[in-house]
Amino acid sequence: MTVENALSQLKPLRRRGDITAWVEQEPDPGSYSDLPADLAPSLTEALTSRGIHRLFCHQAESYGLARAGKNFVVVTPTASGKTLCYNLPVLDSLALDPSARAVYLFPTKALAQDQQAELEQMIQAGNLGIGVNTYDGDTPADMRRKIREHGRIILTNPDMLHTAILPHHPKWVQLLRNLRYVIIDELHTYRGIFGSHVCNVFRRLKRVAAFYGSQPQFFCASATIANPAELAERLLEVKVHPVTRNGSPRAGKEFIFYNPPVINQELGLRRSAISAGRSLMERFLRENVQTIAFASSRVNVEVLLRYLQRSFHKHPADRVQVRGYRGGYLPKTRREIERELREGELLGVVSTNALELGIDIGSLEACILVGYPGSVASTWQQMGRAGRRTGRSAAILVARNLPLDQFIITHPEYFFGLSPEHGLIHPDNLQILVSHVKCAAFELPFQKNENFGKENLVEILDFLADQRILCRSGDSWHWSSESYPADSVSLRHVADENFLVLNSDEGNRAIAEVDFDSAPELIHKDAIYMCEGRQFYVDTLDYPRRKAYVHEVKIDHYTQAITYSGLRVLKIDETKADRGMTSEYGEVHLAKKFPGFKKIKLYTHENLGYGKIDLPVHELHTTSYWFSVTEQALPAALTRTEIIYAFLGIAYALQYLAALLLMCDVRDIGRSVGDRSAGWFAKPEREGLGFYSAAGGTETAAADQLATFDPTIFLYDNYPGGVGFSEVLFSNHARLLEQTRNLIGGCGCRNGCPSCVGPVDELGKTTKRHALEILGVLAPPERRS
Amino acid sequence: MDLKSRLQQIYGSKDEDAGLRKRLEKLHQRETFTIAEHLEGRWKETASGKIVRVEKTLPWFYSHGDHSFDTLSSLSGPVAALLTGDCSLSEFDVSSALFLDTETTGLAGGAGTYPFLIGAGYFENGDFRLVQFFLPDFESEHAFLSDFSDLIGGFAGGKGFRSLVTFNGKSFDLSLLQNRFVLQRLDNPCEALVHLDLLHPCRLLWRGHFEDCSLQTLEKHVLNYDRSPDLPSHLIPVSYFNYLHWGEFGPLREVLEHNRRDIISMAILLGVAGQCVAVSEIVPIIDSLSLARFHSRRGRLPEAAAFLERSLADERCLGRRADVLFNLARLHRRMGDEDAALEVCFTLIREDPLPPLEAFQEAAKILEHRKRAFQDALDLVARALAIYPESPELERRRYRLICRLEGKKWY
Repeated sequence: MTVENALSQLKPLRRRGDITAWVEQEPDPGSYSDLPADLAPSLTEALTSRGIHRLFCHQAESYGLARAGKNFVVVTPTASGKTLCYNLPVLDSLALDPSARAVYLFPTKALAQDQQAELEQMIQAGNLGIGVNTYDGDTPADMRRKIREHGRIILTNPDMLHTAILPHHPKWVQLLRNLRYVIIDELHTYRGIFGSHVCNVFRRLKRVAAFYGSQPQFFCASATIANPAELAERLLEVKVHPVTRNGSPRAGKEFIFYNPPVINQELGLRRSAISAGRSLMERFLRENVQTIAFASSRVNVEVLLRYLQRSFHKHPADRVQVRGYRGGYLPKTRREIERELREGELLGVVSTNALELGIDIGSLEACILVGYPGSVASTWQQMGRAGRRTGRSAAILVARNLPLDQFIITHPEYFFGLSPEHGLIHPDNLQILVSHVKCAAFELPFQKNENFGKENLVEILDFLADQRILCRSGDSWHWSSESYPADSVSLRHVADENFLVLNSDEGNRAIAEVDFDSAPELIHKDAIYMCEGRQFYVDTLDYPRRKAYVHEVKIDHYTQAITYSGLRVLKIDETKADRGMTSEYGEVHLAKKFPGFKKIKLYTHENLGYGKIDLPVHELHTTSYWFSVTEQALPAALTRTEIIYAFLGIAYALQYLAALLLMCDVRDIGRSVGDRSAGWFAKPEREGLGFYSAAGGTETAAADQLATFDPTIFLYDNYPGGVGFSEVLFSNHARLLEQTRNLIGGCGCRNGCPSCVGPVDELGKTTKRHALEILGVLAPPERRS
Repeated sequence: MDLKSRLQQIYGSKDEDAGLRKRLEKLHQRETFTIAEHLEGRWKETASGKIVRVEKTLPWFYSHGDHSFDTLSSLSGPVAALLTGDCSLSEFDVSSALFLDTETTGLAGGAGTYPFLIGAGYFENGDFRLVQFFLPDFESEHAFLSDFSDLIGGFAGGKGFRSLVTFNGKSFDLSLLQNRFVLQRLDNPCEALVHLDLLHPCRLLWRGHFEDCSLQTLEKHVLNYDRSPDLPSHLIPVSYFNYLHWGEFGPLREVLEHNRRDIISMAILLGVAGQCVAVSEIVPIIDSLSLARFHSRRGRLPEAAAFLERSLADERCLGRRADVLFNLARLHRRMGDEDAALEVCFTLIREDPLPPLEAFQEAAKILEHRKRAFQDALDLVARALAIYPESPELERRRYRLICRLEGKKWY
């Protein structure tokens, strides 16, 4: 009853219109199958001793596919018994054949450890005598040898496979010779750059396994995305059967979308999601409902936690215990929190997405997402943390002042409909492919008739031989370098490598993290870095070590880096033209320069002078999608300056929507507004609109004096060579424009805000209106498809 | 853009003048049939390829620094077992031992690191035979490994080798060779041999004597052998790559020479190390404290004690007299001779103006627990506290002793 009590308190919000969706999920009794008759008797015993007397239909279906020698991907919600789908056939086969072995891959270390416990319980219950070992960076050296020789099930992550197992495969003969199954959990996380790398790691694994005479079956599990089987097939390059019919029972559940009210009409500011989330969570906890809140960052976890602890501190009678959970907590603490949650001792937890993936914490009654997690799949996973087999549960999404959040919260059908999200990979990105060709050559010499990737392999091998990295000997190519190639290939995006800001006043304590792309602008030498209202002077930027050393200062100005990025189109792959608008995709060359910085006085924004930044030009050869519009096709009443501002606003919203479509981080895509023929590029500055040429020099010329005027929005892959985003954006061009129009048009602000076209103080008060006028021409409402 | 231009755009081009490349390739082709001569070896053709084999014979009296192979003549199985602490070597016999060292394409390890030179040394009819197997190209690896296997299997009319001696081979050379045998789907002949790795015994014996315990440092100081001029180890991989890519084989001769010297040094060092641990006299190349440490580690307590007694007279140990005495006291206690242990402790306390805390504790322990002489123990602790007033261990002991003397409970 308690969940209902808490929910009834939300009715007033619903009346105010702040709740944009309230969807009730009906209970489902589930669909079952008997335990397979041919299951190893000891395993049947293990299952029954754990109270499992029959299977859900998706578990039975997976088992059947596995027995038939097929690969499969299970796509069912959180807590639907997905792990048994692969554990059952693996344990069955390993129990019958004492030489057979399996590798389990998890994207993170914590997940592997969690799974080990689960497998061990099952093995013990059935007395199956199968050794399960986690092999990761923390495995002690003296254990490694034993695991290599005797481990029947190895739990690890793709990074270990890449740097430790494959390059040393002769030490893993026992495993590789008998490798029957490779299990890939959380398949949907293998997308974008990470997925493109991992696809190549699988190419290497299959190649090395074949050398030892084995050809493993692949069992995958994924969160709901639009194309799980397609992603699995692209990742593994084998036929994969999807298992999508969920047979697990579930009780009723409420899904609620909550948009905090606007508190400043002028700036379009809404009440912060954190404080809205806090009052929601408080209500649930006071009703004694076990609740989890997900916050978007580690800092937000701490802030929300402190708020909650303070409000419960005021009423000691409540004795409500809330704890935080995030990366950076000690493993022991984490295990303790997980146990307290499972056993119901802990009523509330505030977590980052660290608890989103399948760590076993039992099922809670309510879940509050403070901010949109960035993808529909993650949202479903986080919301899946609430929901028991019996009794109602609730999941609430609270939107932030960001375009993605606002789009989702005002377009619930995007979320509740069929998943639009595509897991994309581009394993043949030349740079990624070549780095793995090197790793593969290190592992086994290449023979002339081999296949690896979709490019001409012999040409790549010959090129590497010319570089004297390989040595051609007859029709084979051998590694011929002293280095260990896997060490210099990171499977994760460079953007994962944040810079640490260290305060030398406090013995180099880390005070903040700055993402890779922003580092040159925010923490270059001599910059004033602002953090939590304090000012810090950057003494040095240690670029290779990703560290900036700062000390606190109190001065009257701040700094703003001058950056220019120019794009030059190198090759057009495809073009579509319609009513003065041309959309295209192809290859571009991007040069990002950081010539210097301005010192700007606080409050008055007076320019106090300039300084130099000594950082190299950031050059990127990548792929891009872009569209341009002829001046004639645009509303005649608008001046060129107004048009450019409007384009800047449209590009701002478009970038977020593109990230939504591509299931990637916003930083994985870059945006730029300029001339199609690279005559000029535009950027909003404090003093007004700034123009610069692709070469980087500033031009003070007014918009009307520009020699060419083909305003263009570029959205490019922020990764050398691109990972296939551009083509998808190009084919979704009309849809993206329509969504952009809906997002900006549907935003509650008056003149533009960070949730639609970007901050008003940068773009002026008319930009939102002009952007909508232009979108009205480019994506008229009646043309919706 | 074609694939090659795209690759060049990303990685830059190392495009040499095509004519130059052709000429180099030709040069390479011409030179492949002279590399054997250059290395003073001969080609050996097998069904799976051809390789270069270089053989040398050195007489037993061949001198290497201050020593010759003669040092090995006294090395018996039990000495080898003692030296290594490995009883599987108690049957060790120099005449059936193979001394092995490889040169590789790098130190990174893993499946992409190749041993390209296997050097093997053994005794035959009183002479020391050195056989080096050189891999002229990667395609011949199967032949290269098979030929090496044949040596192990076919020695002295099928008698075969029984043991393998290396310096750091356990974690490096043998591990890499094992990889190669797996990759070429061949049985590894080394697996049938008992392995003696000199690195660990040498570390135990000579730790703290020189800048490090590498083979080259030991040969310089222990064998008094000067190997200059020599090709530095870190240039070995690049010498091989230059040969592979450019056909430039000049420096390879020095690589082979380097490898031969390593094997000779290793063999003689084994003899010297064996002598050090087999005799009970003090030898000039190792101090007696280290020998005591060695014997104590091997569980030979009386020998260790004898060396400690001797090191009191060894001038190289003068600066470490307190250390020696303290270790001696410990040893006496381990051997059950408490009176001797006490005596040494008191000598130490008497002699040293600032005796180590451990000496007091050692003596107090014996007095309290073995002799149950609580008053003597308390007096000693009081003296110690005058020097180490901050020591919580001493305080605890003092409290306990007072309680015991008064017949009270201290716990």
